[in-house]
Amino acid sequence: MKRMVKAVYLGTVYLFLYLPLAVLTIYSFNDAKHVVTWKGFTTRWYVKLAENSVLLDAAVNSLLLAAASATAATIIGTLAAIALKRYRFTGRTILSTSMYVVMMSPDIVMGISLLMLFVLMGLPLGFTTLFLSHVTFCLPFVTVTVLARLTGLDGNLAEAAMDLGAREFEVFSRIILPLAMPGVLAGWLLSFTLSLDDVIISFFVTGPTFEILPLKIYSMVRLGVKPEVNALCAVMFGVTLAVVSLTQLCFKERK
Amino acid sequence: MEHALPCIELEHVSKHFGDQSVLRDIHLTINHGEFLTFLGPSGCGKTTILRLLAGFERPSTGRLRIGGVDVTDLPPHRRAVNTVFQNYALFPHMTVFDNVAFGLRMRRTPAKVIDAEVFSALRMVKMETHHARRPSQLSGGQQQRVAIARAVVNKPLVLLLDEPLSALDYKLRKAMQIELKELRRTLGITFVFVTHDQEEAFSMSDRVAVMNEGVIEQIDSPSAIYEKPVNLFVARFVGEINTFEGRVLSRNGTSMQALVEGEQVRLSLGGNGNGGGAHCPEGGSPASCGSLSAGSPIKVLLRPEDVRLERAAPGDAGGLTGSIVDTVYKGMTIDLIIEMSGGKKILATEFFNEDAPEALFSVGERVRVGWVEDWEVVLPDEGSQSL
Amino acid sequence: MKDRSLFKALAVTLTVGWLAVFVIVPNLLTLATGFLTRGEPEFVLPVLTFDNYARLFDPAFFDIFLDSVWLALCTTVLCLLVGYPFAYILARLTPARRRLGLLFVIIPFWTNSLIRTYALIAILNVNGLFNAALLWLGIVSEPVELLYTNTAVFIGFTYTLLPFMILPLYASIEKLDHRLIEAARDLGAGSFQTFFRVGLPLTLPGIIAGSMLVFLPALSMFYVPDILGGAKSLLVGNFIRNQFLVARDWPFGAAASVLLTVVMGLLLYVYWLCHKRVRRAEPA
Repeated sequence: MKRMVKAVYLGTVYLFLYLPLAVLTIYSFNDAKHVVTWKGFTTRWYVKLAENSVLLDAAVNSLLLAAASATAATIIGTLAAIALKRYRFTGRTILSTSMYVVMMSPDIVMGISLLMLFVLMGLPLGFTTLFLSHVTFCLPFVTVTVLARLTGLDGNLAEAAMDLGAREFEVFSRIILPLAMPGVLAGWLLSFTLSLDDVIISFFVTGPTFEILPLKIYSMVRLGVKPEVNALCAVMFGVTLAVVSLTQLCFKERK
Repeated sequence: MEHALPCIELEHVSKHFGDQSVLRDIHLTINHGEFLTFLGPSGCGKTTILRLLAGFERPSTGRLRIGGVDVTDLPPHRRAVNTVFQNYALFPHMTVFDNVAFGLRMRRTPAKVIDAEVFSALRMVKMETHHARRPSQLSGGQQQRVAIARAVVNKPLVLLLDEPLSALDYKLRKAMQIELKELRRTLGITFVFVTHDQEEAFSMSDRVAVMNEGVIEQIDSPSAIYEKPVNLFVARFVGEINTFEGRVLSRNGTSMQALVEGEQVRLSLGGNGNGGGAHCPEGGSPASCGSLSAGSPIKVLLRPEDVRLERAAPGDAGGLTGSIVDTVYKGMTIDLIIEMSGGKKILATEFFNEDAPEALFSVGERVRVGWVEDWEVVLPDEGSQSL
Repeated sequence: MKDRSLFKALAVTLTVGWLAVFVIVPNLLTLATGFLTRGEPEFVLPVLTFDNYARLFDPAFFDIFLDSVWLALCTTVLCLLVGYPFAYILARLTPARRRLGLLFVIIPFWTNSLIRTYALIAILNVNGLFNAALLWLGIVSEPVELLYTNTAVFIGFTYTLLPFMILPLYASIEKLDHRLIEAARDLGAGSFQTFFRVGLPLTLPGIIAGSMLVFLPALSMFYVPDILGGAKSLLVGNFIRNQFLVARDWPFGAAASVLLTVVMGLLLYVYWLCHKRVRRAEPA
C-alpha cells in the first residue's frame, strides 16, 4: 500500500513534467492549422520547417555558436579546474567567487551587465558578444564537472609523473588531461546544451547581424501556438534528450 | 662497508608549513648502498623528509645533496631519485608496460631500449607476463611490484619508499619485505624507506632513524635501537618496555647503587659489556649519563623478555618482589603480568616449556623480579627535571 | 622550477583574467551605472546621483518588486512541497531505478525553459487538456480562462523550475546517511520527530540551494509572464528588461538589477551559514 502511494506520487510528478512536452510533440504531427483537436497524422510541419531558410540559418548559427563557445568554455574551464586543484595562487578567491556569482546570478543581471560592458568597450553586438557571453556562463559548469572528476583521483598521480621525470606540461597532457577526459567531455556537452538553451542573456547581447534560434523561437512563441513552432520545439526537445542521455552515459562510465 | 661514501646529505634541513614546524634542523648522511628507514608515529615528519628528497617540497632552510650534487633547488624531474608511493599511484589509464616505460619516455629513450629495459625490470619483479594489463586488473601485491619496477627501471641513485607495504595483508607484507631486501642486494642502490611499523623497519634496514615531532631521536642499527634506546620515546616506541622510577645512591664508574621502587639494587651503566657510556646520546643532552651522580632521579628500563623471575620464599626480604596477577598464553611464549609490591604493574615474557609445565608460574604466586646483569637500560629521568 | 611556473602562469592568467573581465568588471559596472544619470543618445551621462537607488522604493517599482517576490516565494514553497517527497522517494529506490528516475528529472532540467513554457499553452488553453480534464471530472461546467492570468504564470514557474528544486534536494537526501534515520527511530522518535529533528536539519543545505535555484530565476525569467501572462503581468524581470530596451533608462535598470544581486547575496549568505552548520556537525 505504502509502495503504491509512492509509485503513484512519483508517477504524478513525472506526468506533470512530461505531459506538456508530450502533447507538444503529438500536436506537431497534427494535420490542422489552428484547431487543438486531432485531425490526423502529418509530417508537413516538419517539411515546412525544413524549407524555412530563416529558421534554418538561425539554427545553423545557434549550433555554430554553441560549438564554438562550448569548446572555448571547456578549454578555459578545464584549466580553471586544474589550477584550483593543483595550485595556490593570488586570485584564487576571485576565481572561485566569480564561479559562484556566475552560477547563481539571475540571468537578467548577467545579461544587462555584459551588455553594458560591451557598449563601454565599443564592441558591436553580434557573434563576438554572444560568443564571449556564452563562454562566460558555460565556464563554471565545465569547471565544476572537471573538478568533480579530478577530486576522485589519487592525489599522488601527478607527483608520481613528476618523480618519473615529467615536466609540468607533460603531467598535464599525459596524466591529468587523459584522466579528466570523461569530465571534460561531459562539460563540453553541458556547455553545448546550455548555449543552445539560453534566451535571457542572449536577448540582451545579440545583434541584428547574427540571429540565433532560441531568440527566433521567442519572437514566434509570443504570437501564440502554431503547428510549425510545435515541430521546431519538438526537434529542440529531441536534441536535448539525445545530448543529456549521451552526457549521462559519459558519467556512468566513470563509475 | 666498502660503500661508505655519502649518497644523501642533509645539512641543517628544516621545514615549516605556515607557523607549524614539521622538521627541525635535520643533519644526516646516508651512505651509498645503505638501507635506511625512517620510523616514527604519524605526523613525526618522516614523510616530509621523503618529499624533500623527491623534490615535491622545498626545505625552509638547509641544503640537500644527492650523489654529491646540490639538489635543494632542483625540480623532481631533474633528481636521480625515484619513489614508490604509498598507494602505488599507478597511472590507471595506462597498461603495466606503459606505466613502467613512462620514466624512460620522459627521458626520450629510444623505443628499442625502452622495450628491453621495461621487460628486464618487469622480469625482476616477476610481472613480465602481465605487461598488457591495466592496474585495475592487478591485485595489491602485483600493483606493488609494478610500482617498484616503474621506479627502478630509471636506474636511480636512490629509491624512496613511502610506506609501500601498508596496504598489503600481513602474509604478503612479510614476503615483500624479503623481496625488497633481495632487490636491494641485486641493484646495489640506496633505499630510503618510511614506515610506522617497527617490525618492518627492523627486519630490512641497515640503520633505522627513529623520528618524533620533527627531530631524529636516534639513528642506529636495529639492534642498538632496541637494546640501547637513548631516551624514553625510543624505548617505548619500539616494542614493549617496563619502566621503573629510581634514584642514584652512589656511583662507582660504570656501576651504581640505586633505590628502585623502594628497594636498593645494583645497576650497570655498561649495557651489554660495550663499555661505559654506550647509552649516552652522542653530542650529549644536558641529561646525559655523565651527569648521573648520587641523588639524580633515573628511569630503569627493562624489556619483558629480559625480566627474570624466581619464586619468592616466604619471609624473603630485600630486592624487587611482586605477585602474578594474570598470564597470557601466546603460543611460543607466555606473558606474565606482575603487580609489584608498590602497586606498579609490569610485563614479563617467558618461553613456554612444554616439558616442564610445573615450572610455569600461576596467578597469585609471589615472585622476585630480577634481570640479566647489564641488560637493563638506565636513563636520566627527563620528566622529573622539568618538575 | 621554471617550466612549472610557465604552464601555471598561463592557466591562472587566462582563467582569472577571463572571469575578472567578464564577471567582476560587468557587475561593478552595473553597480556604478546605478549612480549615474540617464542620457540621450549615449544612455548614460557621467553625472553622480543617488536618485536611481532611491527610486527603487517608489511604489511604481516597489509594488512590482513585492508582487514578484511574492510570486517567486509561492513558486518556491510549492516546488519545495512537491519536490521534497519526490526527491526523498527517488533517493530510496534501488540504484538502477534511481539512475533512471534521475535521468528523467535531468532531461527537463536541461530542456530549454522557453520551449517548456510554450508547451504549457496547449495545456492551459480554454480548449486545452487541463480544461478538458476539469470538465470531464465535472469540477467545472464551463471552461475556465487560465491562460493570460497570474495563476498561469504561477503554474508556468512551478512547471519550469521544479527540476531545479528536485536535483539539489536529491543530492543532499542521497548523501544523508540512512542509518541516522534508523538510529532516530531506534531511539524512539516518531516519523514526524525523526523528520523534523534529523532529516530536515541535515538536508537543509539542499533545501536552501534548491530554493535559490527556484527563487532567483522566478524573479528574472521575463519570458514566462510574457508568454503565459500576456500584457497583464509585469514582474521585476520584465521591468528591468523594459528599462533597457523600451524606456531606455539604463541607470534605473542597473539599480534595479543591483537589487536582485543583493537578494542573491543575502540568499548565498544564508546558504553559507547553513552549510557551515551542517559541515561542522559532520564528523571530520
